[in-house]
Amino acid sequence: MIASNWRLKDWTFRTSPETWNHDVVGLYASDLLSNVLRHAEAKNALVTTLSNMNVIAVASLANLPLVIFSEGKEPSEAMIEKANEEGVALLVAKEDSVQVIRALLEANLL
Amino acid sequence: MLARKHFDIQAGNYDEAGKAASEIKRTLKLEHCSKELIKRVSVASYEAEINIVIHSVGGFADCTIDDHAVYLQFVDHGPGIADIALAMTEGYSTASDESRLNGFGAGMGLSNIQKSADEMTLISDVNGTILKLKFHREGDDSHDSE
Ligand SMILES: Nc1ncnc2c1ncn2[C@@H]1O[C@H](COP(=O)(O)OP(=O)(O)O)[C@@H](O)[C@H]1O
Ligand SMILES: [Mg+2]
Repeated sequence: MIASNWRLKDWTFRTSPETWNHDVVGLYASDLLSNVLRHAEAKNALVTTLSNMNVIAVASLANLPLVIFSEGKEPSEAMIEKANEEGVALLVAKEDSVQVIRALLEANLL
Repeated sequence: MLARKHFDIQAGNYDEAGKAASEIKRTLKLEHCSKELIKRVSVASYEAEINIVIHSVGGFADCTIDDHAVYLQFVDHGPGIADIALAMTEGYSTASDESRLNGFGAGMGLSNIQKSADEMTLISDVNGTILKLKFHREGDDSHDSE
């Protein structure tokens, strides 16, 4: 399933359409970057309320093609630019992380 | 020797944090290291780089790759780790509130590094901290590309 299929409700992409084309398989949710590094698997989407450059760095290092920012956390321009360069898709959802995961489950994405 | 790289790491610069780790990852890809090896090296180098950014006054990293292994060292200029055994304990962290807001300070960094590397040497005193890591390339399938 490619990243564009993961846009549910009124979630909006902040990155360019080229980033929406990557395969996404499974999900990892955390607000602790060490845990993301240890436990997230390549191709996982990341759901997090963290919004800073390090999230993009970790997503790129761990080969995570999609980050869903929950609770409406907006990525900065610098983060968007970096994510576009690294080919990481960024989605913003106003729901909290649990609601985001529930919506993905209901849509049979998990 | 196939490749040798040096990176300066600035203390307190959260936006630049991860640059060395991502350059190291890129270097390994160019040397056709396996995905599994790249993942282990990426995790360890990011954690080590972040530790220099958030816990030290600054330092540098060196990366050398030959046919047998990937060798990394992370060096900083203090204040050092007072109790290494305690610092290695999962969950122990002296990270500031600012670091925590940035997603750091889980106290898992050093143990993530230890789990990722094949060999790890950590030396520290008030002059600073030296972390040496070795990752074997045996079983490294050089045809395993992204
Ligand atoms: N380079 C360093 N210089 C000084 N102290 C360090 C350094 N690296 C780690 N430490 C100490 O060891 C503790 C544990 O490190 P780590 O396992 O990476 O967890 P965290 O970085 O999340 O606190 C840190 O909180 C800090 O007190
Ligand atoms: Mg750490």
